[in-house]
Amino acid sequence: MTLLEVEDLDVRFYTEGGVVQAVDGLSYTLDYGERLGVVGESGAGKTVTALALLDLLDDPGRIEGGSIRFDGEEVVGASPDRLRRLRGGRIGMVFQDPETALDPVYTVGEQVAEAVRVHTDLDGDAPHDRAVALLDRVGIPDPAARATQYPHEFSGGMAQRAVVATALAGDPDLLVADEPTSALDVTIQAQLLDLFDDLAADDLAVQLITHDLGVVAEFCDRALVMYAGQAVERAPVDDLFYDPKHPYTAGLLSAVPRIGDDRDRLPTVPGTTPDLASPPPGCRFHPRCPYAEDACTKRDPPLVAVGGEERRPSGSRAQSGDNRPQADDGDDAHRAACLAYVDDADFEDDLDFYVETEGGP
Amino acid sequence: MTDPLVSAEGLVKRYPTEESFLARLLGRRRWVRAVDGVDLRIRPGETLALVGESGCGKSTLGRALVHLEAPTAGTVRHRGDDLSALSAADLRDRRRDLQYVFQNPTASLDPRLTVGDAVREALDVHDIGPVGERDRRVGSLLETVGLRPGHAGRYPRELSGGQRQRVGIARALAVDPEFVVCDEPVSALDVSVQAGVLNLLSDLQEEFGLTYLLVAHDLSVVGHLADRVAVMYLGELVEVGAVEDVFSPPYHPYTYSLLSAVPEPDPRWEGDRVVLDGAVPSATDPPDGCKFHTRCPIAQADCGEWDAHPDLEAVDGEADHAIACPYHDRLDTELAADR
Repeated sequence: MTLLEVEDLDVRFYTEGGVVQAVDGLSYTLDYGERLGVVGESGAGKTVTALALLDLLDDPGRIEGGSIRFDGEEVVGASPDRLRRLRGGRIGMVFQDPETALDPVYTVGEQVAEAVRVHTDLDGDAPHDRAVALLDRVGIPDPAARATQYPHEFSGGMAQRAVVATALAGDPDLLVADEPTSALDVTIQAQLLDLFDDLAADDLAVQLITHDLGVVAEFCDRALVMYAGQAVERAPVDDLFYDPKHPYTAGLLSAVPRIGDDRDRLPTVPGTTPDLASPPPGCRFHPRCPYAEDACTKRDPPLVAVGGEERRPSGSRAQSGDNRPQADDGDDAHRAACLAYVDDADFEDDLDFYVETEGGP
Repeated sequence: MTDPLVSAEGLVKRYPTEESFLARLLGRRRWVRAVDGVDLRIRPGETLALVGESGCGKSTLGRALVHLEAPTAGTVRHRGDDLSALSAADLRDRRRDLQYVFQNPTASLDPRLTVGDAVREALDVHDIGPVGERDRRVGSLLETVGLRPGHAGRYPRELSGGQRQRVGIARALAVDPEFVVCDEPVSALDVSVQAGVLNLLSDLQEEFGLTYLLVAHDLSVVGHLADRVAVMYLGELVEVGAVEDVFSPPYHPYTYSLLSAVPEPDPRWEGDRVVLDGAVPSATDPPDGCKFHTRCPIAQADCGEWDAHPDLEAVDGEADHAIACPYHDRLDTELAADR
């Protein structure tokens, strides 16, 4: 069942250097209990998308178009009161750096209890008891004693667990986690991913923003690859890693060093992400794309279904007659935004990248 | 065996937790044992990686090896000379051979200096080359690291993260060093950019015959770039050897845990993951015996009881591979029993 539907989302920042199109025509859906990985380089719009979900964009950022429906209700333009109940209530949020997410002058228990008070009817000692239970839930040993401690007495991993406990205070249906493990050691990251696994098994949907493709492969059901504010590929993780369709995804995958690989040189994605105040015309990736042709400089490719079968074809809201990415309801089809997959495009050659596997399927 | 280019013998670095006079008077001052007795030989032309969790002392060891930190005890030698014994002038000369590339290029570059000034500063400080030639040398250094001479007039804020890190590398290269400590050189960068910087580091090594100490927490980066690896835990080395030996059995249980925690970019990967409990214990009060025994997946009854920590011992049949765990050969059977 669909929990979140983002359709044709546009976010712009009005800066001195011009209007920055941070998110441009982004559409995706998330089902109850689903784990969606959002990947891409810095500046791809991953965090801005997450902030837009909760209307947390700061000036000069604004949602300029599109819709975000959470459990069927429109979030864009919702009243401040409703947004307040949504934020930290039905949508919990975990940020990259736990040390800045926690207030140093309150005990950890008090901070979790405060979130409980805001999002539930509990009063008296009940919020505190609930806070201790939540700290226990996220795997903090001796939670009653730890609740009386201050954030500086917590290690990075424990502090991040406490942030997760705060995010769980309103009994959310969706957890948006923005690089939750990037500041942590791999050993601690493994512990946190175990915790997220455990929470997702309880039917909590997770939108995990990360730059680490390993984390996506391990944790997510589906992935959304973003480039320069747009979705360039969306697919179940197995398809994404074993049969990437977009040249950018293929480039990212091949740039990851792996233990045991004997490549002397890593392939790179040359160039850098474009300035979104004046993005390149046509496909935004064409200046860095090894397969770019003349047509790519002229036409912005829509996100279209590629290969594979559409297991749940888009139906009710199918639009036609424009080049915008088609919004679809929660299908798990494999989609990519590249002219190579657009029937009437003037694209000559084939994308000839492929995935090498060893001994596997 | 060839003589090491840089070596550490019995290296110890301690920091006080509090510096104030009052703390000293009241005896509140405690010591963080960041590096706690390390012996390490770095061979000319090799890349030695230093890995471990945050707080294990790897950056401190890296800094001590180029004498950015004076050791509390033990010696650091470069070409056989004890760096602590050198005069200030000799040490300054020696610094041309020993360079450091910092983790965060945004923090290590002065925002008020242009890229050209930042690189030229290194030439001026060490008085390298005729003054009139230096700007041209800056331009060619920028080209060497994959930037354009035209970047010299730009400020760090006008560059991307990857470009800034290239400036950091150009600055280190300016003095024509022998040994470069690269402290997490790519951990602040995106994968696509990271690959370019890693390729650059290997190209430069080949071109200039550099020796690297690569401080890193990302084991896949290490596997890609390094010849040998030293695994560090709470200020001590627990395993040292060639990459292919350290990254394959037999393992120190800590190395195994680190390796197994790296998420594989493969959704069909099915392996056994050891998830260590808790975090690294405090370095002010490390556990007795083997420091790792409190988190070790195969800890035996006596691991916390030794008078001293276990020493690095050569692995049978693998010259050059040493593990500081007398029970490491039980890893397979013990983990299999847990399954």
